[in-house]
Amino acid sequence: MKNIKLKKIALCGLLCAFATIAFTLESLFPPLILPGARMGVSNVFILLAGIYLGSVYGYATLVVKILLGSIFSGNISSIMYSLPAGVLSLTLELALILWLNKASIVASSVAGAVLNVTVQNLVFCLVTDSMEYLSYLPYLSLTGIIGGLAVGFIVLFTVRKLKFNFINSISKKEKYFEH
Amino acid sequence: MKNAEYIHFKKAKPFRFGDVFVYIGVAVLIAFLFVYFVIIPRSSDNLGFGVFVDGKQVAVYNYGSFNPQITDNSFSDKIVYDKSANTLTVYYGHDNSHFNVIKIDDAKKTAVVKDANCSVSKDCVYTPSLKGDSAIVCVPHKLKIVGLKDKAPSLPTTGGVQ
Ligand SMILES: [Zn+2]
Repeated sequence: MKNIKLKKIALCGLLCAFATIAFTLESLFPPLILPGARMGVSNVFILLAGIYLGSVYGYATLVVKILLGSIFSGNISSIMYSLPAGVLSLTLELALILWLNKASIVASSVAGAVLNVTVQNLVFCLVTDSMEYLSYLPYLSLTGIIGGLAVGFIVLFTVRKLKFNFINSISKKEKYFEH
Repeated sequence: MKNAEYIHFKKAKPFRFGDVFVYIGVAVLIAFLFVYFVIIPRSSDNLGFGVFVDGKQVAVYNYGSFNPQITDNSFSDKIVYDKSANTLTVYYGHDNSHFNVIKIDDAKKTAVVKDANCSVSKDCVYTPSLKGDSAIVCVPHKLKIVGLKDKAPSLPTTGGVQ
């Protein structure tokens, strides 16, 4: 059991690295419509961590991505609005996919992405005292649908190809090799 | 690890019945946002714009005046107007190493941040140009540019404007 936990932590670290790299690379490209509006490719790795390793690992990947990503892109103050938005949208996604188990990965990803841009925009307006930015919110929510669909389908196809109990199967294989 | 919980992902489908409610929720939210922020507001043209640093107004510009007014004396050597390029550059820090270049379009009565060295992602540069009730914010530089509905009163030139 202890072995499995170590493997989960190692895998989570790998997913954290991928998410941070994706986030940083994406911040180099011009955004869709408005700053902050991105496809959110890094969310693929956060959702995979949440689904395969468990919710706690999903949240860990999210926090690492936001902290490291905002440091690398040179905009540390963006943590103020991206962290609350990220936590809320991941909670909605995990609730729909894992806890309630009622909606598809694609629909959950779309709902999470739309919630993410909405909360991020609201908190940004409050923190920077610029309510003028609320006028962009309708268009931002549309970019959330596009990003959510893209991320949702990538995660869906990944999940269908990968083995679910692959963490267990790794440890079984290891036992096999030990003999 | 409860594998049974994860089995359904093996045959995960792009659509499940519960999705209907999720998509309805998303559609209602977006419809509300469009009605509240796009259809209801009627924004008029701006006559000029104000430049704010750290919440304090430092300069105003009336479209067509070709003469920005610096309203905060401590910024008199930190705001440089280039008449031929029609740009207003705001400098920050002791060595003025940080900047935002504001490009003014008097004909279209709008302004946009053309260049900045605030962060890798340059959020302010990618923000659409000023119109109606919009604004441009540069979070790392604490800069905010807001459209003005009324003409700013003429102030005696405080110097520093070229
Ligand atoms: Zn900026």
